[in-house]
Amino acid sequence: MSLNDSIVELLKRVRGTSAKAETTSTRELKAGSGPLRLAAILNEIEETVLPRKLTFRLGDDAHIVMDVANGRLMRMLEVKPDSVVGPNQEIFSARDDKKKAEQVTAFRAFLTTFAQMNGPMEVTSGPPKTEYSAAEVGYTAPELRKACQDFEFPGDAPEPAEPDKKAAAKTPAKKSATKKPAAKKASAKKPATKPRKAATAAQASASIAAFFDACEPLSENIFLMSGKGKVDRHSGGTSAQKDWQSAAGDVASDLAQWIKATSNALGPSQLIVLKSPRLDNQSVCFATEANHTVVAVFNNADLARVLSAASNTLNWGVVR
Amino acid sequence: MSLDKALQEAMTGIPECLASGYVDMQSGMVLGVHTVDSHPQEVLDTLAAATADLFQGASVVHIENMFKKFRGTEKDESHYFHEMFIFSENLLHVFMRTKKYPDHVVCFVCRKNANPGMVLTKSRMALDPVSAAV
Repeated sequence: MSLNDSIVELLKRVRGTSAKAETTSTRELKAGSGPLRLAAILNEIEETVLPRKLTFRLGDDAHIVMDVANGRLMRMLEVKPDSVVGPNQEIFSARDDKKKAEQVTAFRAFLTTFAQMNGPMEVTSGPPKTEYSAAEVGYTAPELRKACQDFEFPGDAPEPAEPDKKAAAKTPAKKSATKKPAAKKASAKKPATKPRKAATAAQASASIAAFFDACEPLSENIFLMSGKGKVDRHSGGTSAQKDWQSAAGDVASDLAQWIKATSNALGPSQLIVLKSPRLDNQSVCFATEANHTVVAVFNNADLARVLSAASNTLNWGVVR
Repeated sequence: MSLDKALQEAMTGIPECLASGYVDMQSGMVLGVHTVDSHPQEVLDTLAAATADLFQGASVVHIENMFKKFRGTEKDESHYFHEMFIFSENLLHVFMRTKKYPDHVVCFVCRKNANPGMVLTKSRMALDPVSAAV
């Protein structure tokens, strides 16, 4: 190829890349409830690496426009309808660490109020009008997620767990009929947070128990422990059982210390695998979720099977 | 080659790698670090300080001693565990003791959509060049 041809080819490629960066595309985000809409928005922010202007539209009237780059929200450009913005809140223009608490509270309010609105959601990604300097860091998706994580969406509480259903069945019909309006009034004032939290904890406990069941056939020794090191379930060689039970207290305390130190960066649910370099040796994994830990000892060669079991059972999906 | 440069080069071979660090567990200090812009260095600093607590904590030492006992190698003073992988909600962290300095750990942080097998293999391959740069 001559030099001329090479230059022409190179320019074609450059033009192709720049055209791609200039294009605007719209996608539907399938999210049928408030929490799913919020998660979809945060995921979009997290997965946007190159600078883009993202417009999230919900139904005909509501939209949020923001500049996003490097998985960070750089600037909020527009929020509609106006009711999404509270009376004393400003639309975020640049990160100011002196006002961090106010800014984070405002995000939480914008995003959660927006996510509660009804309608099909779509996102339009286009080129941003502003170029941001390296000094402008904005807010990362995990920071935004953390700000919104304990928000309870009204009317989105899952069905109560089985014992509550049984208790409700035992209650005489007359009594429940007379109590109903008062209960309704109370729920209108304050969303049912306790059943939701209890249901979330129950779901997490169920998933960690499912991980225990999936790993049991692969493990030489496996324990399911509560947060304080109390062994709830055990399976494996009885000769080593005493040794393992004596280690449970140390494991629980070391893990609690580790989770406390790293939960800001890694979150409270983690799968930790300690591995020796030799193939015929054993590995140990600690899976923590909902204040429960599974400790499993398995052969190094079974690492992939254990990861697969974790991926299939733990709520947060260990491997994508 | 400087340690930072060696870490930077190692990252290029590891899929979806966002950050790398070199930690002296005796002091909990980060001797070298390299991150992409979107991954704040403070996160790695926090992890580095906590790494020694877990890798050399009472529970892990207890388990290492148990394994040595089961295998009849109680007198072996080397560490049983050389690698630690942490899968969190969004990231995969790999910590590996170096062969040359067993109290030093190289850490790589990758996005969770990376192939974990490839991350582990490439991390192992990057270990020696990084420790040689210390």
